[in-house]
Amino acid sequence: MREEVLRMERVAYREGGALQLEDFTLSVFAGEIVGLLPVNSHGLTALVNLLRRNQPLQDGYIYYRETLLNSWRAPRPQYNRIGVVQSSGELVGGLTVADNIFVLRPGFKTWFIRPALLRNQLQPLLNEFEAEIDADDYVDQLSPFQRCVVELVKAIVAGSRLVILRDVSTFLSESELIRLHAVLRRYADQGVAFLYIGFHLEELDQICARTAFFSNGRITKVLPSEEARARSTNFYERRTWEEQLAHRQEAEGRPPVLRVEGLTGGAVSQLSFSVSPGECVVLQDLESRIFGDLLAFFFGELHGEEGVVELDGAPFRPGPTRDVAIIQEQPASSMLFPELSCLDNLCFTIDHRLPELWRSLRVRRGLRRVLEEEHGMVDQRPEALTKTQKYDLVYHRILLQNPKVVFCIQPFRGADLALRMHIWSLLEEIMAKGTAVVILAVNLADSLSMASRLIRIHREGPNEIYDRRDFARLPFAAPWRDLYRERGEQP
Amino acid sequence: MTDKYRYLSRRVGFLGLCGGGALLLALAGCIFRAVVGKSPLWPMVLLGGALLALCLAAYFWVLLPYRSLEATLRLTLEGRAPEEALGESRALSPESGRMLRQVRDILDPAQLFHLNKRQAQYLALQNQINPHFLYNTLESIRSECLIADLTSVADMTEALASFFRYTISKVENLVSVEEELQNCETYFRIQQYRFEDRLTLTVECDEGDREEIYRCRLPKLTMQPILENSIIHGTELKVGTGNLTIHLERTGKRLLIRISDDGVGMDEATLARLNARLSASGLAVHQQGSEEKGGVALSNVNNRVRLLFGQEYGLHVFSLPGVGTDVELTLPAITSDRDVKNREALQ
Repeated sequence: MREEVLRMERVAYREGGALQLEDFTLSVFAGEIVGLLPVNSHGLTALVNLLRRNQPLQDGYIYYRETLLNSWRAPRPQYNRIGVVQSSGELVGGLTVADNIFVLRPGFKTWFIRPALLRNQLQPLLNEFEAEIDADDYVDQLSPFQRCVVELVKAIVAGSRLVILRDVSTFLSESELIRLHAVLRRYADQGVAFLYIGFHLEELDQICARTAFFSNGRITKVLPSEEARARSTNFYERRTWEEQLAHRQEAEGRPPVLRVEGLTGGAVSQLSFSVSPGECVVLQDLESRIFGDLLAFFFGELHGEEGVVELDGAPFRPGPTRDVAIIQEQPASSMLFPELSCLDNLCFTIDHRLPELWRSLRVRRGLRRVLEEEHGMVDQRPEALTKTQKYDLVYHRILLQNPKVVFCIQPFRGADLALRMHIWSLLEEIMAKGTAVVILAVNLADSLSMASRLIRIHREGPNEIYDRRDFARLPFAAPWRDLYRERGEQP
Repeated sequence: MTDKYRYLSRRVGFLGLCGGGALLLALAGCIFRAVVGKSPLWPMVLLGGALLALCLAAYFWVLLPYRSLEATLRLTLEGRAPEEALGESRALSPESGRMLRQVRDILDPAQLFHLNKRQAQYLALQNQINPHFLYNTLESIRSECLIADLTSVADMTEALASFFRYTISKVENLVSVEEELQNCETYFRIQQYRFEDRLTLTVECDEGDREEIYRCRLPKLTMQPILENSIIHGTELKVGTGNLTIHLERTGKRLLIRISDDGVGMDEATLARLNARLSASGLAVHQQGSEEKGGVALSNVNNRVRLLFGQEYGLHVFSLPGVGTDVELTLPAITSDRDVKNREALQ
C-alpha cells in the first residue's frame, strides 16, 4: 500500500481575478520524485503559492498525507508543511544557517538558543550534500547551490514530506545539479516526496519517475519519464530546426568577427574562442563564476591580464560600444525601462545609426510611423505588454542596434516551452542579420538548438570544445542532443 | 446555543449586542474611575481585549461560514454543488435556511432520476430478455461449434455468454475489483476477435497489494464502459497496435484505477470540456445535453460513483494528442458494502 503524500482533486483556484488552476488533478506518492513540465507557465506561481499557504478554492479538494488540507467548502488559511526551493530563496539575511533552519522553524519553542547543540545537530545533514557549509555561516555569503541546500535541509528539518523544487537547473551548474540529484534520491528513499518543476524533459528524465504536463493551469497528462522522453520530439519544432541548421552551416565558413585568444583576468583563465557573423557559440560555465568578469572586461570595467581579443580583425578596446550588445538574464524584467514608452525602449540604442534621432522631431515621427506599422503598440508603457511582447521589445531593440556581437546570458531561463521556442526564433532572426551570438549559460537549456560550437569551461584544467558534429558525444542528456544523434553527427 | 445561533443574522446580532454591552461597561468603568480620581486605563484595556475577542469571533463564526455559503451558492448556480452542501451551509436567516433546504430537496430527486436513468435502461433490458433462454441458446451454439471443430467461434460464444451473465444477471450494485476485472477481460476477449493482434491489454498492480485491491468493492460496470470508451475513441482510430493498460493502486483511504490507451488522444480544448462536464453535478450535465458523442459512458460512471461515495471521488481524464488518454477513477478503498456513504442509493 502506497502512502499518498499529495492529492489535488479537480482544484479550481482564482488569483488576481484570473482563473489560475482549473480541474487540476495530481497525486504524488511517498518517496516519489514527480516532474512537472510547464508547457506554459500560466498558473505555475499560483500552484506553488497555493501549496505553501491555503487559499480559498473555487472548487476541488487538496489532501496532504491523506488528510484533507483545503477544500472549496471549508477554506483553512494556514501555512502548510510543504517546502519550496526556488531561485528567489526565502532565507532570512543577517542570520546564520543554523538560525534559519532551526530558530525560524514553526514550532521552535526553546527559551534559550544553544548554538553548539544546533551546530552538532545540523552539521551531519549539511555534510551529506558535500556543499562545504558551516552551520555558523551567514546565509548572505552562500553560493546559489549552498542556499539551495540550506532551503532543502530547512524543509526536511521542518518535517515537510513534500518539497517543491522550482527550476533549480537555471541557477545550479551541471556538477551541482548532479550532487543535488544524488541527495534527492537519498531523501526519496527515506520517504520524502519531491515535485520537481523543470522546463526540459531531458532534465526531468534524469531524476523523475513520472512527468506531468502542465498547461493553462491543468495537468493534461502524466507519463512515465522514459515514455515522455521518447515522445519529446513532438514538442520541439523539429522541422524548423532542420531548416535553420542548413543556414547555420553557411555561417560557419566565414572569417570570425570576434576572436578571443588566451584571455585571462579576474575569474577568467586562458579563455579562447572565436565566432563568425551569423554564428552562435555557447560558453557553458560549469562552476557558474566567470561570466561577471568576462562581461566586465568587454565593457571596460576589468582589465585583462593577458590574451588577445580582436573584433572584426582589429584589436578590441574594452569600453562602451554599440558593436557589442548584451541581453541580460530574464530581459523582460531586467532590460526595460518602465517609465519610457515602448518606442523609446526600442530606439534608445540606435543613436549611432540615426544621430539626429533625439534632436529631430521629424526623424522621431518618421521612425514612429515605421515602427508602428512593424511592431504596433509603440506608445504604450512596457508594463501593458505580455511577457512574450516584452521579449520581442528587447530583441527587436538589439536588431535595430545591429551590433557585431551579442552576448546573451541564459536566454532561456525561466521561460516556458512556448516562450523558449519564441526566444529561439528571435535569436535566429538576430543571427540571420549577420550578428554573432555568444550564449553564456550555466545550464544549456535549448542553446544546443542553434549552437555551432560549445565550450565547457572548467575551474581547473583545459576547457572542453565541442563542434556541432560532436554534440551527439556530449556526456550528459542535454536537450536536442538526441536529434543530433539521430542525424548521425558522429566524428 | 448551537441551534439558537445557527443562522448568521442571529450571530451578527449577538456579536453586536456583546460589542455594545462591552462599550457601555467600559464607559461606565471609565466614568467610575474618573469620579474616584483614578486613570481609566483598565476599563480601556478590557475594552480592547473584548473587541479583539469579538473580532476573532466574527471571523470564525460569521465571516468563514459566510464565505462557505457564498461558495456553495456560486457552485449551485454553476451546477457543481453537491446537494448535501446546501444543507450543511450556514444560512443567513431561518427563511433563507428553509429556501436552501427546499432547493436541496428539489435537486435531489431530479438528480437521482437522471443518474439512474441508464441503470433503469439496463433493468428494462433485463426484463425484456429471458436470461436462461439466452444462456441456453448460447450454450447450444457453443456445443455445435465444438462439434464442428470451430473452436474460435465456441470461445467467442462462451465469452459473450459470460459477459451477458455478468451484465444482466447480477443485479447487485457493488462488486469486487476482481469480478469487474474479469468482466473487462471477457469484454476484451470479445473485442480481440475483431481487432486480433492490433489490441493488447495489460493489468498492472503491485504484487504485494494485489489480494487487498482485488477485494475492494466498486460499483458494477465501472471499468468496462471506460475500457470500451478507450477502445472506441482511442485505439480504434489509431494506425498500428493499440495498447490498453489497467493500473490499480491502493493508498490508505483510496483506490486509484487508471485505464490508459496509447491512441489518438485529444486536444486541450476537448479535454477541458470533457473534464468540465465530469466536474459538474448530474443535473448540470443533463442540462448541458450529455448526449454529446463520447462522453455518456464516462459521465454515467462518474455520476454513479459520486452519488454513492461523495463529490470527492469520481473520474478525471488526462490526454495529449498523439500520445494517448488516461481515465483515472478515484474510489474509497472499501471492502464491505456497509462502508458506502450513501447506502440508501444502493436500494
